[in-house]
Amino acid sequence: MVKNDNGSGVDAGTDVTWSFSDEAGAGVPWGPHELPLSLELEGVSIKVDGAKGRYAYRREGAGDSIGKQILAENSKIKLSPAEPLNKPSPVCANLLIELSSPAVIQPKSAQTLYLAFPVEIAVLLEHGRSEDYLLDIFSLVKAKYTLYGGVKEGMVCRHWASEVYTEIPNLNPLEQGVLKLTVSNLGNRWAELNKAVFSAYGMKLFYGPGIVSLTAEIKIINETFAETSFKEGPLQDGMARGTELYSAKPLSQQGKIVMEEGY
Amino acid sequence: MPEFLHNIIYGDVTWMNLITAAVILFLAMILSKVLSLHLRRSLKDKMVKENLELMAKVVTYGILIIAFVWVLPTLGLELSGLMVAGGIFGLAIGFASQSIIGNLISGLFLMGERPVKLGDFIEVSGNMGVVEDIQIISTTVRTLDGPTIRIPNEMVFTSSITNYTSIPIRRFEYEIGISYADDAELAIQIIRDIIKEHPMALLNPAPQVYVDGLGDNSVDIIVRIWSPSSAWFPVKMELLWKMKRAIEAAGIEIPFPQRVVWQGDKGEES
Repeated sequence: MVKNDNGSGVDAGTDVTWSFSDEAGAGVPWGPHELPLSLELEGVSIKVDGAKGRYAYRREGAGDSIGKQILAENSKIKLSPAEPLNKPSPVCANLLIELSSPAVIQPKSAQTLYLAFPVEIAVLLEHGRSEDYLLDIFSLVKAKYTLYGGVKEGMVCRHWASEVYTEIPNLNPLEQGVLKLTVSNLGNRWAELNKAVFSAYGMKLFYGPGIVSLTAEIKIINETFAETSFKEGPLQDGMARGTELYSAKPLSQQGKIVMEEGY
Repeated sequence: MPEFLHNIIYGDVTWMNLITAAVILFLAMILSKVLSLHLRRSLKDKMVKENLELMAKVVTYGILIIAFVWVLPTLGLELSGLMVAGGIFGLAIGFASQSIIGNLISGLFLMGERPVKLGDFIEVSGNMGVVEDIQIISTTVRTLDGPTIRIPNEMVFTSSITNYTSIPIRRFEYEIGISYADDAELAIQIIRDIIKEHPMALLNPAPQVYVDGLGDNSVDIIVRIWSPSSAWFPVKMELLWKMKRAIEAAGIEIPFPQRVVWQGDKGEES
């Protein structure tokens, strides 16, 4: 059964099954859900059983399983895309996207590309106006880490290889989001973009029923030097803001990455 | 006000002066504690831990030193007089507190140069562990089996320090021997596939897997893998067993040391 094509959650006790391959085309059941609930998302089973302020949360699939007791009344479970830097364990706050084929940009110009990035799924507890509590987080895609730069001064990054798209691609929103990347070549020479590194502090995730998005820009300053940052705002109308697990920004993190070791 | 407060204890110092000095020092201690606690709480998420600890210590010691200097005249100790006295006692104090001063100065250099930071995994003077605290006189290291070791700062500063967390990534190495009868290329491919599957085995710097030697009992394959410094040991523990199982599952033998003994035929001997 597929429900909830507007991403706004479903009523209590309903069973929701969602798959990207489902031809019904309904969207991912993002957003708040009344308790109890039962969700089946691409083979991952999320169940919250119980009543009257005592619930049992159980998630199976995505490489592991987790169970927790929830002692709460008038609370909801909320599904939201999250920054892809928490699984299997948070070891860094940087995402490196490697382009499957380099993009060559002429001098003094700006172009827009669409890339894919990995998505993690946060399960949050929502209660009134209080801050959401991260109950669980999982990912349907495999993680791989890499180093950007030298052994001494380099940055550990989550690695993701992406195709380069000229228009918004149709990707499974439980696995990948769409990154709208504005590439500005500020230099006087041609530039070849192979990769871009982004900081999790500053990621502005937005989601709709069938898409998760980020908007970013990379400014190419010279042959080896570039700067990346995220922009505020959704890719399409009607998208909601995703959860930000990296919102408490340390002083050393400005949400921008200066790529000094090539791009 | 009670009369006895104006009674002279020594010199011009009265009980009132003594109590005033004690109150000032007490308030300074409370103020330093409150301020350092407030700093730690308010900047906990915004500053690197070791910088925050350093700042809290500077604030704590700064307030205490200012308060101490402030109360000296109240206690009848003029700073100018102290300087003269310092000349007389300096030599004696210098000899008596040589090691303490050495540790203190080393502590200041440690805090300034910062070859180690809180939370770093280091090896110094044969002691390996995580730096738990850097005080003005000593550094506390928690060893891998639990206990803490207090190392004088002079020893830390003058010894060679191996800091395992000063760089973001760390490499580890295995040597895997396979039988001469088996396919080394297949074993290498199996090992590479396992490395590829593990998220914390870094893509770059690329892992190295190659035949390193033809040993007495086996063909020796060297495996070198880089991993984030914070995760390298769990990865090291996990991967070797996976490789062993996968290699054996593919029918490749990991041989024991063996010696082939040829025994002459009795008939030929006669």
